Amino acid sequence: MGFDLSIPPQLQGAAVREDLAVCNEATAKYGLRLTEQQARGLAERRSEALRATGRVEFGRGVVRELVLGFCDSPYLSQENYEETIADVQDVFYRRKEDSEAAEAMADDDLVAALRYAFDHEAAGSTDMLADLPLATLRAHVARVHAGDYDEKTQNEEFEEEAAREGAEEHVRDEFSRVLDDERWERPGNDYADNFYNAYDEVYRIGFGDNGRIGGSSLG
Amino acid sequence: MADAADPCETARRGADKELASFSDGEADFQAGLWRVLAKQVSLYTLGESSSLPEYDAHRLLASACFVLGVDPDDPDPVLMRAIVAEGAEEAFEREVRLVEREAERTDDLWREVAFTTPLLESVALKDTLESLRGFRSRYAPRFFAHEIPADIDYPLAAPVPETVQGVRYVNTYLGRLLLENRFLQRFELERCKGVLRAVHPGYGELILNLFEPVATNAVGCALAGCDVRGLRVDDAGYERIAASLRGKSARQVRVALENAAARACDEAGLRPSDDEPVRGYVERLASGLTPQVRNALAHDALTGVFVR
Repeated sequence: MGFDLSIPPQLQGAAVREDLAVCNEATAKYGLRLTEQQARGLAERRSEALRATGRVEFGRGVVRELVLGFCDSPYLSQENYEETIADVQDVFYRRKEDSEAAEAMADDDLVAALRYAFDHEAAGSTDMLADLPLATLRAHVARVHAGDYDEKTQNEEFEEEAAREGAEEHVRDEFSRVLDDERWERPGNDYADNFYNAYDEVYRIGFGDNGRIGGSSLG
Repeated sequence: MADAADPCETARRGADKELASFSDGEADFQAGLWRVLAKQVSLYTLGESSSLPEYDAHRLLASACFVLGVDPDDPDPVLMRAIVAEGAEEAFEREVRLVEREAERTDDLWREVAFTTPLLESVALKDTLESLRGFRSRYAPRFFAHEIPADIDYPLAAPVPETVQGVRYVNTYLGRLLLENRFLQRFELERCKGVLRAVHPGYGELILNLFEPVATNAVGCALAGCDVRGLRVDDAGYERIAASLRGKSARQVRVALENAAARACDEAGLRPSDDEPVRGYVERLASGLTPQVRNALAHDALTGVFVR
């Protein structure tokens, strides 16, 4: 007989069900949901992508990572959800194989780079994502590692600084308190009732023949 | 009822049931093997990748099968069932430790071989020993246990079968080389060189086993009643060999050669109590000479077997 390198059916079935449960739970808040049939379709696309790229996967695959990585993309909706994930999966394996020629990219890095490129350069188009050069994805990975895309970095630095200085209250909490205090002290709408109202004044005086406010003194 | 009474139908159903049970066992084994391989991939890629190129996947699969003792082309159903019962991952970890323990022996074995190798010129032997130096540091029992990270050019008198893989091949090879060295150590270096020069003047440059011509001549000397330690059969000796073996059956020739090998070992000082493996090795070599000797007798060309 001999063992081929295809995934045993019972393992594939179990992995699909597990992925489906995890993914649907995580994407529920974004209004995204996969059916079991769609999940099976993704598993088949994965097998095709692996065959096409000459790669082998003994584990459960990267569908879960892709779904979790892409679910909060503004370009993803229930209508294009399955197709987008399937296409991104194809791009993932192709880029993974391409990256083996030099330094192989880690799965997590590649997913993060694809997600960034999908939202920016590709603007939600999987075709454009597929055409992106590997160097661009590597550059994204380098920037992710450098923390350039990490929006929380500055806040985290504040937090860490505050923790180092032994502040009892977190910096962000302190900012919020100041803003709230200012908000409470802000005057209401009636505060400006007696102020000069230029808008009403213009319409009260009216326009002159030459379009000047209040008419022209030059006749 | 009619179906149940039909013996052919009953047999067919039995065979189907057995086949289904075998297929189930095989599927369970493959599922277990895949779980082992998924973990192997994770370790191999340091958790960075869930997939890998087909070439590396084949290597990991071959290694896992080697470690588990399963022939991937013709797996033993009994062994597969035993592995499934134990759990493939547990069985793999246990067997990997055994392979690692075997690999621990290799460097000691190599050192012993290097210290006992006679100072006979052989580029192939020198290169092979150099290639096997520090084998353990290059050997990867967890990922590529079936591979041999060394170039083994020097041929043994009794080659290790190609079906033996990885560290088992290397240890068996070094073990056999050690037996050959122990035999060669019993003879004067110059006499060994004389025999080898008679085979080919440039023997040192050839990919040629050093033990085989020396042991063959030792057997020939014992057969001819000459001095075994001298390693030279004289003209009268060739005549005595021819007279004693001519007209005998293959079995009789083989027995005569095996007895001569035992006498040669006795005269070389290899005692049955201490050197049984070496004696057995020489006897197997002598037994293998049977067709050559019979052919040489038929053509009056014994000098082609036992060199002058």
